[in-house]
Amino acid sequence: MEDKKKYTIPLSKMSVKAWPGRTDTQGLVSALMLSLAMIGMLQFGERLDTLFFGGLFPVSGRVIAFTMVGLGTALFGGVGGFIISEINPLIATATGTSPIAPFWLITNGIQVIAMLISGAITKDVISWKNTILYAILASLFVVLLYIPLHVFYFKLPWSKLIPMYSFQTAVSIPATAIFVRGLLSAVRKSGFISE
Amino acid sequence: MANLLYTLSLQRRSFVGDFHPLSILSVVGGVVVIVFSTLNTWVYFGLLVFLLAVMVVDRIPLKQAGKMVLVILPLCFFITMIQILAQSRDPFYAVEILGKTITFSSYGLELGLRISARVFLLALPLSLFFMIVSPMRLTRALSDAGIPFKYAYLFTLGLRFLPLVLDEITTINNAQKSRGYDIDQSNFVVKVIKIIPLMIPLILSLLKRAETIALAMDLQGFNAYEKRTFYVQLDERPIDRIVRWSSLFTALGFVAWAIFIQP
Repeated sequence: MEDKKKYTIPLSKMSVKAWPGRTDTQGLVSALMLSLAMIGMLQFGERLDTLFFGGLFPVSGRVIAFTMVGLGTALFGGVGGFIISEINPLIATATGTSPIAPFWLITNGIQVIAMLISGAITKDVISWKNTILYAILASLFVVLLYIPLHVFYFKLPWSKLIPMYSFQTAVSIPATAIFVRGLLSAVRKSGFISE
Repeated sequence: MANLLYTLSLQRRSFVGDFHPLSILSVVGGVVVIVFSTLNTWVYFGLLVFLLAVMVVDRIPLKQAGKMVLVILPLCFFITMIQILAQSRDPFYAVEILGKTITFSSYGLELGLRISARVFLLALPLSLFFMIVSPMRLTRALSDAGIPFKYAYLFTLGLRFLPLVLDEITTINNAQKSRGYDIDQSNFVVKVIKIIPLMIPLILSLLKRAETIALAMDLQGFNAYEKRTFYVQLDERPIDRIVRWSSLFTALGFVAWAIFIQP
């Protein structure tokens, strides 16, 4: 039978607050490791995005980023989430893997805020309600940030790109909600969650 | 790449690399501001010459710039195509598809190429920064700037452990292959969906490994004392101040030029 217990951010030590969350060495290193896992996973996703739209409208990369940042924030709280979200663009910039990597500093960061908001509203991180709300908020925030990037940086006519934004959002919301929920369940069953 | 970057930056000393990391960062910031403030071809040409000169002086292989071009090529292609089709000024060709006329704009082509140059000129200095500045020097500079050491050190730690994580992915991938789950045989679209069975063991094994690493770091006194000593020394020379102020004034000058004078 499903456990009726409420799970709050940070799952790895629920006795501390969601902000700043875990700032001990283990929390920081674990968040860093998740960030590196995200870089590894993005290798697969970015190839597909580059093939279809040159990385201008990332879909699979976005789903992987939403999933890993959401998972990390749920596990380690705000600071851990920001470590996961910010190390990836820094290393991507350093290794020259994507020309728009510096912009991810902002788009990844907003996903941490989305998870903190959804966690505070639902008060139960390992639930469909939370993961769906997180996916919706993250998608909304990121689209709102991508519009200025496309307008000011790439001089693209954003009104003509609405079908692309819609497609990205339509894919990223259900995929993120399912992946985050699945990973949180796996992490819970593996014993990485504590009071 | 990360491994190479880390090893190279630890070993090499160079003319530009001897500047204070924050001075180099201010130059990079200045270049970014200038690139954003204009789409002028001559300004971009000047910046390109400046960046190539830095690469030559610092003995960074010019093929790194060539690699950068390869990375941005797909993005630039799509940007240019969208501009050609989306802009309506100066059409040079029109074709009717399913009763709808699609025009190709020469203005869009020109704009697309300029934006491609912008993308390149933004990506190059940022990459150069990390090639020139040693991660340890950057950590020290960030720590001096007031960022707690435990956060400032994370980037260096990330670069150090990235090869290990990539190896872990290969190991898990091989383990899954031995069970008949071969994602390398899948097409691009299916591959993205099929990475989920790789994700769970990867995340769990890395979280377990993080416990051991954190314990080892704590045992060696990581973050044990508020004020720590450093092996790496950073000298702030008078020329560093000159570089920072010149970057600031040049960037502001370009912004003013772009707003008030540029046609």
